[in-house]
Amino acid sequence: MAIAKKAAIEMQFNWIFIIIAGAVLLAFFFIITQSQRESSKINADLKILQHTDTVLKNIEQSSLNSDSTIVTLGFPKTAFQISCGEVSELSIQDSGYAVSLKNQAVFSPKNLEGSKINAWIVNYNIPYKVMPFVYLTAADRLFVFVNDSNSGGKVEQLFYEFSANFSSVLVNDISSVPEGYDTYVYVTYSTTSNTPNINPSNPKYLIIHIKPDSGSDYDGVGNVQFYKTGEAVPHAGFAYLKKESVFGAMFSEDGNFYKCTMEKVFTRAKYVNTLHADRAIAIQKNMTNTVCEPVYVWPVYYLHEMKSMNFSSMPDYYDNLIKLEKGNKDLAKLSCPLLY
Amino acid sequence: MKPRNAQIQLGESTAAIVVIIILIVLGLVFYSVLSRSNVDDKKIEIANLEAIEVASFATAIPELHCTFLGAASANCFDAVKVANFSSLLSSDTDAYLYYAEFFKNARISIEEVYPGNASWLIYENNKSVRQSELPVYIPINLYYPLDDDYSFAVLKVVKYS
Repeated sequence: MAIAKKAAIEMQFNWIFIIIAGAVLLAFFFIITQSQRESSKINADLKILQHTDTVLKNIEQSSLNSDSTIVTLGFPKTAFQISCGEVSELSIQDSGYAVSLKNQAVFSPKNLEGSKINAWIVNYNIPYKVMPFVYLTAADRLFVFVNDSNSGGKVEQLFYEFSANFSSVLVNDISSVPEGYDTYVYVTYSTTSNTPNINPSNPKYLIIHIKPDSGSDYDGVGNVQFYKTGEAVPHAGFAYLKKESVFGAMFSEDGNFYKCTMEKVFTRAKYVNTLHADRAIAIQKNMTNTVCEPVYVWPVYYLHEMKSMNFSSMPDYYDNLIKLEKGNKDLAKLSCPLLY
Repeated sequence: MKPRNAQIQLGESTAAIVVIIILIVLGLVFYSVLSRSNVDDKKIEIANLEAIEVASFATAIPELHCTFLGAASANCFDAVKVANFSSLLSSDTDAYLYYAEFFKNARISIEEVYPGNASWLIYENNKSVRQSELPVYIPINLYYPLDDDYSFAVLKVVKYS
């Protein structure tokens, strides 16, 4: 009787031992699997970010051979966040990983989600190159060019200069706009009116109203007004310079994102202008040709003036650019070293 | 005194557990060694990529490139721009910090090969603890606008990592 009882206790003890050891082993392998899962997610996030970063870092090289390049970034469905301000970066949502966009001109919505992101890289030539612009968007955004009577055919011209790789339509009347997109960007143009003549009914839209300065057009200088869904008055209005900045406004999340990116562009432009001015001075100083030498005086003055101009003084900036272009042509006619 | 049956069984079970634990520990050590070598490979790959990115940026920026009526000429650097850019980065801290965002920890220089032998140090930042140097050499044309003449040169980008 006593022996049988002892055997039963031994059996029970063995089973308890097996269960505890089994549980410990199971927990161990569970923890290993979980950490592997997390690390493969981190690896995937890092790879996506690294790939995107490499593309963005190489835009200067890509833009060297062509003024307009399209890059399609494909990866597993990913949610990106793009910020511009004190911190300018591109990050993957909830991952904690980001790459800096501090000195890059990236025009984009703040949130980009999808398995395919389209990047359009365009040189900002004013007419000399300042830096490449990167326009980012996902497939859920439709660009609607409103070719109404106010636009005088300019919206149609802008539409044909816009990249065919993005979802876009040219309409006379916004009632014929296709449905099924998450965000609609309406582009309107008027030389006389500060306000767009449309009232979209989409749940999420952005209106970019272009109003050029007198005698100019969308590829010159003027103002862009930004209206978000339901806004009767624009939440922001800023200057534009050349069509590349108009496209920048169309791809930006809102007016503030556009302003922030354009300020970064003008920081780079300040250094480019400084170098052009210093180069013109160096050439002028060492110039033995008495025909060429006086032609540099005014361009150097304009370039120096532009160094202290910022994003808010676009019309003066544009005037100086026109004068510089003329100066450069004069130098070309005289076979003198060019400004740019 | 002879060990009892139960003691023997307990001893066997404990030995089995110890053997399993040793096997698991060996497996973990092997795995971590493999992972570390993967991480080292990744570090080298990233360093190489960064060196190419910096070299690629340096060869393409309008601050250095030859242009003719706004159009850039491939692999051509303007000697006056090179000299001015070098002096801008050495005299203007804001400009240096601005371009440091692109050039990072690197040394960028241009050495004329033929017919002259001029050289310019464009940028240098070796403040990080240096473990390795990855040099990238790119042959370029150097354009002298005043003489309307060209010479051969080498753009040398040394990426510190």
